[in-house]
Amino acid sequence: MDERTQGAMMLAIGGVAVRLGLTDVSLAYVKPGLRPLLTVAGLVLVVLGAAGVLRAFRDEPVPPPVPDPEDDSRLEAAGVAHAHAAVGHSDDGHGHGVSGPRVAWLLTLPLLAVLLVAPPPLGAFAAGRQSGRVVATTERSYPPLPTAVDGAVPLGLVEFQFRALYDETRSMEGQRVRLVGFASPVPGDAGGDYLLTRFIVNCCAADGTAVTVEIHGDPVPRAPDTWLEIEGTWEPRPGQEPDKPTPAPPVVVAESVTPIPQPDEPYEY
Amino acid sequence: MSVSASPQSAPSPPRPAHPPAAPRARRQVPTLELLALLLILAVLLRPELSGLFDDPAVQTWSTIFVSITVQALPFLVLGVVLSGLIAALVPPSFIARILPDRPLLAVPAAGLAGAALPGCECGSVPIAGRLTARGASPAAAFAFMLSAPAINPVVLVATAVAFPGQPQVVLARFCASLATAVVVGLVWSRFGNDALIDRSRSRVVEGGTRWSSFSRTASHDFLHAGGWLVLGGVTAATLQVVVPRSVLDTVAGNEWLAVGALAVLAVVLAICSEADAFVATGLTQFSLTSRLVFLVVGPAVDLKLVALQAGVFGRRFALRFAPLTLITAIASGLLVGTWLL
Repeated sequence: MDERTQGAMMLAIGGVAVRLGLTDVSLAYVKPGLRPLLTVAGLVLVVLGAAGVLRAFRDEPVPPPVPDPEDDSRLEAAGVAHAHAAVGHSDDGHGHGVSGPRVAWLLTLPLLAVLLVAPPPLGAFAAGRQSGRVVATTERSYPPLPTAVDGAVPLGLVEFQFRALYDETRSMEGQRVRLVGFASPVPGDAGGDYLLTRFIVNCCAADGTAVTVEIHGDPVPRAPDTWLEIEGTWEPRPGQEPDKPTPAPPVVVAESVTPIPQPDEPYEY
Repeated sequence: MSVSASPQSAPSPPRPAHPPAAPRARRQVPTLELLALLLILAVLLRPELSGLFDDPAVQTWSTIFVSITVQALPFLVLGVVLSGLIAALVPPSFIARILPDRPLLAVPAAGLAGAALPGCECGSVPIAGRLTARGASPAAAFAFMLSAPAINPVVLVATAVAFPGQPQVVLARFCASLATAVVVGLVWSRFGNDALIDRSRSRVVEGGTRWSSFSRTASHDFLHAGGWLVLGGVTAATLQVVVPRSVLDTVAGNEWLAVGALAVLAVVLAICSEADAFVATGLTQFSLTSRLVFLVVGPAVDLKLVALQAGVFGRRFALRFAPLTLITAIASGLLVGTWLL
């Protein structure tokens, strides 16, 4: 990879990073707090890339003149017969001469993935790969519920699960709540019930943990990954006490279910 | 791709047709055109390509892969900028002069200095590479590299938030991670072979202005470490999708299996050290000690770090350093966990 290409590559990565930092697209991958850092990092890369392109354009001599094993090996890899290929170039798989490191070509992978595929936020498939256990906490007392909006208390799935499983005052008893998440199948359940699921993310989607609520009483089957806004009431499982939470997710009996578009922030933080 | 000496030390015959003194003339492959062609092809084939990604497993893979690389990018950039500044501003002998000569002093000092770099692990590897290239003893640089992502204030605060009411977890993490860094550094200074470190990889581009030296070094380090980081991201994403986390439940009951399983999980997940405490707090089926092992192993050795270390110090080095770090981290987590938790 010569200096022009290195510069172009860094310009491209920097540009994509700035775009990710300034738009909601990045929220499928990282927490919102990382967005300013992404923007700054992108700008730094743009400056460094532009400097590289400028240097190559001015044809500044590149310091230590080292023969470059890169050209040989890449032609070789491309299946092109090459006279130099066998003549004792010891190559550390790295191609470190005047041209930049050959491993840098791998950087095109995330670049292309973001530009072309724009992977969606984690969904039902990823949730099904997790252990399905409930989120644990040692907190046993909770502040009063937020005030209801339009007849229902809006709650995140994590807070709902905490209050349902651990709250000694049972603050949610008989309360109509409003939850947002996507549908995912209940493992080993062929009936009409499904899980309302959302990922909780602390830094990036790789550390995402699925939080689920089991939905009863929805007559309509919901396809996995359909985003839903559900109003309903919490139904404690038989025998459940705050000091011995069930390993199964809490249950909500749905009173109204509305399909919604995917929220701008697909995860809870 | 064979494991061998660096190209600079290799007796490569100069190519008469392409004298190295004329960089323009010796360019054989038009790499910029290749990059442009790749991008154009990808845009043209976009409909076909996006069809490939309809499969939920492939989708999940690509989301996790992109997440790991996007999340690491700011920290990597911070690391290479610092690396470039060191190259441009710090005279070669300066670091060797300020660090104590005796490893018994230098290694713990460098380990403690890691507490001053707020960031996660991706940034500390290129910095350690640059410090080594600038004359720091490798053992001290490794102690810094291992401790910085684990004991800096941001990570410790995150750990305290993730384990409310259990300050002993924060203390245990600090002690176990610092001990890992110092022990690995001392073991390396006593038994390690510095010749395994491929110094050509952290080459300083000398000559020219300070800006030229800075921007060339930072660019080089970014492209280099970035490429290896992508490799680590690919591996971690693949393992996350292929191995379901539910297998963990089957081993949680047995303490020894649990420690091993969480150590492996830390290596495979390759998550940021600022987030791992939140994952650990959710692994309630496991004992606190085995979760401490998870917190100590993660910032010291995981797939993307091994890839980065292979990139910065060479593969022969990484093959020896990773097992040494892993074993030390597990032992240190177990000991401190038994003592404090």
